[in-house]
Amino acid sequence: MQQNTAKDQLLGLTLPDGWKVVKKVAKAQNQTGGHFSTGYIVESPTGEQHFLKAIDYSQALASKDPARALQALTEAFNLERDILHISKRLSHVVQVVADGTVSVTPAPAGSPEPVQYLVLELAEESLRQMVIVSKRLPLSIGFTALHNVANGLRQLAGGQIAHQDMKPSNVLKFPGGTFKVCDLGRASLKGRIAPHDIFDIAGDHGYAPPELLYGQVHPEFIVRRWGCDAYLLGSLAAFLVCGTPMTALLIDELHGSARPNVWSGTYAAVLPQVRAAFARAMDRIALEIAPAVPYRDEFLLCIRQLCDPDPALRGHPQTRATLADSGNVYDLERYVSIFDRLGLEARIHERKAQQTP
Amino acid sequence: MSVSRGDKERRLLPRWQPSAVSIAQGDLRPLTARVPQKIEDEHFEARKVEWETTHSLEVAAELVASAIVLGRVEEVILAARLLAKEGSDVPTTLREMARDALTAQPQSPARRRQRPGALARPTIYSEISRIRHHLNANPRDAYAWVDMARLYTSLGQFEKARQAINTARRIAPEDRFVLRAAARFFVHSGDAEIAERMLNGARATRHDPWLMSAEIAVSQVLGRSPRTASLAARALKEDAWSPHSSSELSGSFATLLMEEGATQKARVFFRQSLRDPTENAIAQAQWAAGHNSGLIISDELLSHPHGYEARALHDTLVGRWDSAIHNCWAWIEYEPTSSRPMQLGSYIASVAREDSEAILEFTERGLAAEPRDTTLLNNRAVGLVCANRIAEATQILLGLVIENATEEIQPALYATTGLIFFRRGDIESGRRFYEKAIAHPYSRRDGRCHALALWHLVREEVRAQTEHVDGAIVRAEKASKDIRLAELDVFRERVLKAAGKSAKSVQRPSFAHR
Repeated sequence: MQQNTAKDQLLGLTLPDGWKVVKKVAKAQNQTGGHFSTGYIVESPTGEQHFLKAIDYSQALASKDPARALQALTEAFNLERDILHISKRLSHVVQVVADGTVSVTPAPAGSPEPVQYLVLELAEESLRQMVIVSKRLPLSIGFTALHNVANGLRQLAGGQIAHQDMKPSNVLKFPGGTFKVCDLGRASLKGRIAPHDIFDIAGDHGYAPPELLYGQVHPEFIVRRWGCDAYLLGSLAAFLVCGTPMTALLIDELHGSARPNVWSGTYAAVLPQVRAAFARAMDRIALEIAPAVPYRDEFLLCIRQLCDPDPALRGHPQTRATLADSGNVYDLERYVSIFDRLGLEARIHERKAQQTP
Repeated sequence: MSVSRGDKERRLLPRWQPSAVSIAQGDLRPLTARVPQKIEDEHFEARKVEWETTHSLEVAAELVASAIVLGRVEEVILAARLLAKEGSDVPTTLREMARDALTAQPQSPARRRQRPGALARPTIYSEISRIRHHLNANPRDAYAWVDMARLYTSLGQFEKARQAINTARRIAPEDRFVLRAAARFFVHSGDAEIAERMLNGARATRHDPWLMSAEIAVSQVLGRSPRTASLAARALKEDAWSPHSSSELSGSFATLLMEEGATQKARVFFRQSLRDPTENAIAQAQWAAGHNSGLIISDELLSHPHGYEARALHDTLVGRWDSAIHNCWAWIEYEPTSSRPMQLGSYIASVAREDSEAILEFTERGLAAEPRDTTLLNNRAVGLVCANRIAEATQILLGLVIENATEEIQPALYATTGLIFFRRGDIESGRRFYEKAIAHPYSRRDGRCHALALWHLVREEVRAQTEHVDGAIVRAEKASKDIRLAELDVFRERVLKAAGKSAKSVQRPSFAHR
C-alpha cells in the first residue's frame, strides 16, 4: 500500500483546532473510504485522546477515472460528515467531535495538499477483536452489545438513516462496557441520493442479506435499507456465538449450484433452497449454545426472525403486524427490550454458574 | 403366477428423492446455466491486504467468511488453514466452515444429517423425529416438509404425508421440487386428478420443462391428453433448455409418441433425453428399449451412479437374474416410496428363480408401505405357495376380488388361484382357474402373459404327474414360439427339465442381439 500520500504525513502535526496527532494506527476502529483513509490517535489540548480519520484526494486523482473517484470520495465524505452531525447526541452512535481540513506536504517532497479529517470518540476495541481473539465472549456481554447496537440502529432510523454496513468491526466498545455503532460511510439518508446507491449492495458483500446477493433490490427504502439493517443485527447475533456472520453460514450450507455467484434464476426461485440452507445454518448456530442455557431458544428465535431470508417476513412478527400499513416494519424497538432482558438473564445465569462448584 | 405391472407401461413420473439428493443431482438448477462468477467487492480486497500484513485470526475469520459468500475461497487458503487448524482458539462453527472451504466436499454436521441412508424402519422413525424437531424451529422450510412426507409415504402413512405435502405447497406453491414431489405423491396415493389440477394450476408449469414432464406423465396416468404437449414439442425442437433440464421432458414426450405408435419419432426424442440424462430418463429409455423401440442403451449410461432401475430392467431383459435382484434392492433403498422395485424383484425371484425367500422379502417390504397393492399381494401368495405355506396364501387370495382388480393383473390372480388349488390337490379346480387366466381377454392380447400362464399350467401338470402334461407342453410351446422373454425361457427350461424333456427341442428366438 502507498504510505507517502498527504494523509499519511499527519503524525506529529498540530491541527488548526488544536488537536495534536500522536500516533498512527495501522488499522483501527473503522475506516471508511477504504484505501483513501488513514487512522490516527489525536490528543486535545486538555489531554483527551480521540480517533482521527484522515482522507486525501491524491489517490483518487491517481485512479483510472479521477473525476468519478473524486466525486465518489467527496460525496461519501460529505454524506458521512452530514450524517454524523445529524447523529450528534445519539447515545449509541460514535460521535464526531470535530472536523476540518489541514494542508499537508506529501513525502518526500511536493506541493501542499488538503487533507480532510474527522475526529471521533476513541474506543477500546471492536466486537470483531473481542469475539475472535478473546475466544468465546460471555453472552451477557454479547447481549449488551446487541442491545446497544439495536438501540444505535433505532436511533439512526429515527433520523431517517439506515446504516447498511453493520458488522462486528463497526461495533466499538467504550470504557464502562457500552457499545456504539460506527462507520456511517455506507449509510443512506432517506430522501438523499448517496454515491453508493448505484450498487445493489451498499456495504460489505460478506455480510449482505441474501436477497441483495441474488440481485433482488427492493425499490422501497424501508425494505431495502432498514430490512438490511435488521438482517445485519441478526447476523451480528450469529457472529457472537459462531464467530462468523449469518451470510457466510447460509452460503456454506447452500449447494454449489444455488450459490449467488452461479445462480441465474430469480431470488423467488432459489428462496426455498435458501430457506432450507438457512434452517441448517440455524441448526449449526443452535449447536454452539448449550441446551441448558435458559434463554437459548429466545435468542435463536431473535436470530431467526431478524435474518429471515424473505425480507417480507423479516423482523418481529408483532411489529410487522402493527406497522404493516404505515411505518418501519423493521423497527427494532422490541429487540432493544428483548436483548436488554436477555442480557440481565445472562448475567444472572453466568453468575450462578460461577458460584456453582 | 407372479406379475410385474411396471413392465407393461412406464410413465416418466418425477422420482421422489430427499431434497438434498435432488439438489446435489442438479435437478433444481435454473434452466439456463451460468458460468461461476467472481463477485468483486472492495471490502474483500481491503481485507486481503489486511490479512497479508497481520495474519491475525480475526482477519482470517472475516476473510474466509467473505470468500465463501463471494465464491472466492481459492484466494484465502492460508487464512482458512489457520482457522481450520486443530486446537485453534476459534468457535467450532468457524473452524468447520474453514474446513468446508478447504475441501471439495463440505462436511458440516448439518449436511451429514441430510445424507440419504439406509431406510430400515427405526431409521425412518428417527429421521421423521429429527425433521419434526427441525420443523418446529423452521416451520417455513418447505423442503423439510416434503422430506417428511416422503418418509411417511414410505411407511404407507398417506394421511400424514398428505398434510406435510400440502403444507409445503402452501409455503412454496410454485417451486419445482415441491410441485414434482407433490405430483408424485398424489399419483402414488391414487389422487392423480389432484396432481393434474395442481400442475395445470401452477404458472411455473408453462415454462419449466421439469414440470411439463411431470404434467405429461400424470396426464398419461389418467389417460388424458397432456396440456403442455404441444408447448413441449415446440420447445424441444428449438432445444430451448440445457440438456439436463430437458432430459425428462424429452423422455416423457418420447413415451407419448411411442404410445401413439410413432416409434421412429419417439426414438429421436429418447436420444435427445440421453444427452445429459437424469437416471429416471435413462430408466425410461431402458424400459423403451425392452419394448421394441429400437433403442440401445449404452453401458456408460447404465453405469449412472443411481441407475438402479435402468440396470434392473436391463438385467431382466438379458436374463442376468442375480444382478437384477441386487439392483432391485438398491432401487428400493433409492426410491422407497415406489412399489415397482418390489414388484419387479418379487416377479424375477418367482419366475426366473422360484426363490420363495426372496419373493417373501420383496413383498413384505412392499406391502409394509402399500398393504393393498394387488400385484404385491398376488406375488406374495405365490411366494407363500412356493414356501409350502398354502393356508396363508389362501388367506391372501380370499381377501381379493379378482373382478375388481385392474384388467392386467386379473390373469395372474386367476393363475395364482389355480396354483393354490393344484397344491391343495384339487387338480380340476386348479386347471379350471389356469384356463381362465389363459383365456382372459388381457392374456389374449398380451402374448407374454398368455405364454407365461400356459407354462405355469405345464409346471403344475408336471408336478401333479397328470396325463395332460404333453398336451399342455404343446400348447405352451406354440404360444411362446415368437415370444422373446428371458424369464419365460428360463422358466420353460426348468419346467421341461422337470418333465424329463429336452429344452433344445424347440427353436426359440435368441437374446444375444440385445
